[in-house]
Amino acid sequence: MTLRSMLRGAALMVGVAGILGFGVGAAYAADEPTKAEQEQALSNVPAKARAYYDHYWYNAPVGPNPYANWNPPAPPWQFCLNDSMLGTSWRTDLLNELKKLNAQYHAAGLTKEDVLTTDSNNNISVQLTQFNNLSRQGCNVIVSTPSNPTGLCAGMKDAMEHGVLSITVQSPVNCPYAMNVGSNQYYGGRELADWVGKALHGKGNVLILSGVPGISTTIGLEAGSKAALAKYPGIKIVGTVYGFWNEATSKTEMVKWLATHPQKLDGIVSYGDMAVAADEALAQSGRPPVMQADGTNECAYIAYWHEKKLHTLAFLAGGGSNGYEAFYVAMKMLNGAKPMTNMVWFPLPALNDASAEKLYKAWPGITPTSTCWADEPDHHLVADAYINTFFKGGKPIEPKPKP
Amino acid sequence: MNWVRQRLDVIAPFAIAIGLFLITAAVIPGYGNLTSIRSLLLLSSLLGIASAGQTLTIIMGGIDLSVPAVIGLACVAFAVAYGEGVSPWVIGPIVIVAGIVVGAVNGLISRSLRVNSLIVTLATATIIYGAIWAQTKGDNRGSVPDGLTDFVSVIGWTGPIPLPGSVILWGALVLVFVILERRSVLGRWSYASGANPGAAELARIPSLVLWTVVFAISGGLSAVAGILLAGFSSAANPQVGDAYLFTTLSAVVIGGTPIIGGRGSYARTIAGCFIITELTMLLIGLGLDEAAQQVSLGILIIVLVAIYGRETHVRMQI
Repeated sequence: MTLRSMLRGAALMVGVAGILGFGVGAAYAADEPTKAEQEQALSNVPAKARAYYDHYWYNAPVGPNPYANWNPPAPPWQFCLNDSMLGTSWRTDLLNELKKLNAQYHAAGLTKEDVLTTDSNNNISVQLTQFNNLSRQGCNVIVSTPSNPTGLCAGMKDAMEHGVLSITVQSPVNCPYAMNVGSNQYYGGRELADWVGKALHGKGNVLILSGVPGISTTIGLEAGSKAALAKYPGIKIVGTVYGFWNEATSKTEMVKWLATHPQKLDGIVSYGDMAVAADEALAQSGRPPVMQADGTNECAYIAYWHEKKLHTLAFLAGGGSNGYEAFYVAMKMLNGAKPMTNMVWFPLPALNDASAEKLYKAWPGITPTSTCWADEPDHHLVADAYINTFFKGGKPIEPKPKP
Repeated sequence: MNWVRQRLDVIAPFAIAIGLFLITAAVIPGYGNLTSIRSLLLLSSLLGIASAGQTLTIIMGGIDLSVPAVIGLACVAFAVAYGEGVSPWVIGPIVIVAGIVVGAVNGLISRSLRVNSLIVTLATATIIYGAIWAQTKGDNRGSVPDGLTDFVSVIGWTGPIPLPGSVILWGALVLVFVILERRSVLGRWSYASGANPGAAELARIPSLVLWTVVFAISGGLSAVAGILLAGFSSAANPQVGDAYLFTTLSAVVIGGTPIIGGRGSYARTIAGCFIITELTMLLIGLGLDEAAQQVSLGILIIVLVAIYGRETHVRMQI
């Protein structure tokens, strides 16, 4: 091979790769509905809850009750979990909570003995097949965590036509065939960044430590954070690092970022499960800790912040607690209550220095390497009364779910 | 000049690695300081250790896609066992032996059944992920000893040397691999098998033993990388190795070892590890977002491979 042929090959490849790069480099942009469309969508949401639907379109469309013509089946009900990937402690807690609550109602003769469960290892085609199988295996309620906002829509439509109730948890779908239970990522990103802006008294360099690039959760969180920080003219966003909600990746990317950005860093807005790695990367790069809002109540974060005595803002967002809210919505509907909307969103409870310390004491033995989620003992994210405002009619849930 | 032309495929990766460092140091203020250099060396060492076994399997004509799964298994097993009070000096060797066994099974099945190692190692990876889940149910509580964290810390020292233990270990591994490739029977067999498996068998090279041993080395080193990543991330995470599938293969190919085997060396992979780490640091330093980083990295990989990675297979040169 001659030098000339090598260079010719390189030139050809640059051309091809440039074309490919242009194609895949197109930016994602969420379509903002018109004011009238927004008002129409939010008219389905209880007035007191609308504040938590700020910029809802970053997550999924808000619409009317998709189950207006649905009649709840007679008990005993079969609960099922269609999980995209059961490989994390968050997902395990979700499953365990569903199993725990299901057992309570099984004792009362209202549900079948076990929760049928599937795991697709993050393969949306496999998850759709598993969803369809569950639908045909007699599930009355399928709780799902879709790995893609549209990938399960065909299965959910079919399930709805067969009288099966589909409920998503913290991963809403872009189709009117499911009830979506969770929280607004834009709102969460906004609150975290606002806390950092206030903690820095409106001045300083802030880094965003984000999750997986390009997915609606991340886009919503980042848009909320950027909007909040834009209100502080003295704050400069100096970069965005993607940690993929993984300690090793976030630490690797933080180390790289810190090695190539010698300027002072004053704050980090991170979106959960990555703050400890970020702080360790700072320490190992010879930098002092910075104001950091994390986002979630991972045990590692709670224990690390306790040990280092750092200031914090985080949100309670464990899988167990989310599982409780999804189960409660299902029980409301199985008891005949009609939801006003397809999107039951709630504000995640915030943790400050004092409440994080209280939680640390409620979870003895947790360390900065613990992978559990420090939920509140009652596994509630909001009062049942808040969820009740989304429903009309129906019988009271009996017996009441026990924490 | 002829000497340079003939060895362009060997010189180019190292020249690019050095050039990239100089460009980054010129473009990004502060990049040339000690902490940044230590960061570069640490991140390259983690990739280098994970890529070592991959290089040898590729030279031999195989490929090991179970690297991320073995890394994840080692990370979880080590951190969970240590968290339950098992001594790191007990669980560490057990985890490495487990990696060796997984690798040996990969090589044994691939060669004895004549199934492409790509398929076998992919299947093994799926089994490992399933086994981790079956055992832990996603509840990977664990911890790591402080000594291990220091071993993979940017500011770690090894005795009087201002470099973390991971970098020193990588240096030792480089020496071992260079001797293994150039001076050992195993090295010669690997090149011969990669160049022409049929001819290698006719030359009475015991291919079953060769494949079993080389894949066992790959599995063992993946396990070592998994333990180091447990220390680096201070957590038990089965997905910790995911990033190392693409990057280990890229490091081998960018270094100039052809994916079809028969040529190349671990020394070239070292250059590949530096190039990948430096490239990502440069792109991050320039403030490119994740999408632009991925596009740029992909383009640069194609360009580099186009410059020096298009040699005719050894078999076709005879």
